[in-house]
Amino acid sequence: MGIRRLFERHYPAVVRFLYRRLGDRDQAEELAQEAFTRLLDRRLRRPTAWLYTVAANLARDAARGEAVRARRLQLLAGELADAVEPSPEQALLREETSQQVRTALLSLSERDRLLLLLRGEGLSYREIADVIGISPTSVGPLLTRAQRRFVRLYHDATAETRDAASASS
Amino acid sequence: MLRRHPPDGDLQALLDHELGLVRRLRLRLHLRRCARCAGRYEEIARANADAARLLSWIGLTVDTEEAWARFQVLSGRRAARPTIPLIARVLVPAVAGAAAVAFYMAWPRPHPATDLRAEVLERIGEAVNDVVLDLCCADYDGGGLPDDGLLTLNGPGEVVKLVVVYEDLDKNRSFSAGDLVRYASSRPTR
Repeated sequence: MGIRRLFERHYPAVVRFLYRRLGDRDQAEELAQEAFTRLLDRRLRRPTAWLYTVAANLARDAARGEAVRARRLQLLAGELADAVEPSPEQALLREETSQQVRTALLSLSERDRLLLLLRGEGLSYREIADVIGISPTSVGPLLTRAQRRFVRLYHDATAETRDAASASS
Repeated sequence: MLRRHPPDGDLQALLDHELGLVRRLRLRLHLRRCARCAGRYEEIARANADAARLLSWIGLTVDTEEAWARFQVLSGRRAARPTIPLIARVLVPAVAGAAAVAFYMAWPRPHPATDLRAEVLERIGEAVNDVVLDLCCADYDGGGLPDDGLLTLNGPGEVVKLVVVYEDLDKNRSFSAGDLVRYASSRPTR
């Protein structure tokens, strides 16, 4: 498959994957471009898994810096404010929910987070297994657990927010 | 029919369409008959839907056209180059190589002696005022037959500037276009 077709097919998903992983849209786009640039030098049979592996590694390296993390939160707040212009209540709700989802996601282990995000982008078990470095038969059980943890962590995060709100009022 | 209750991973794989036909049918059959597993399946399906719904809160839209234009610039236009399929990358040089060999083999190459003869005739033709001595025939090349001729060329009072040993193929006892040149001295440098 030509690079253009690969780009059109996977670029938005790779950017979304990186954005969910990092919380910084510009950085997500930058790293996705980097991943596709690296792809140019290779001729691969299964480019999808390779792309996500590179993207995951780039995201992991990028997420290591504390400065980046601080910037991420700042940008996230800014981006959410810049997003579609709904009513102030809707905007507040959206911001709050996104933040809680992100908190839940960041609380997961690296492997669980990758499982969720890769599945979220529609990768097959085999592709997910290639990226994470596990057997394809392990993907199902690990994914079930990761999803349960994620949903539970989200509910915990919303409960904490509720408690904090009621305590402040 | 399954003998044991399927693990969560199998139910998850069923939801994700990652099971083969036989396994899928067995599981579906089991779920119809086992209320407990059907409940587990529902619970996993809910967790799937919840996780997908939650992730959609941090989605975004991407302008692929704009990104592609940027990518072409960033990659130094390498991305714009058309990619050549593997089969073409292998076949094209192979076919080109074979064609080159076939062309080389088929090309009518002059016999070295023919070239030599042409050169000798040209030099004789140039030497309008020169003395041409043509001695035929004897066994000059040691082949055992008196069919060789010796031709020399020199200007009046000058040293010999061309020596040719030829085989008198057309048996006309003189050097002519049909003869085979065995030896010709090199063109003198001026």
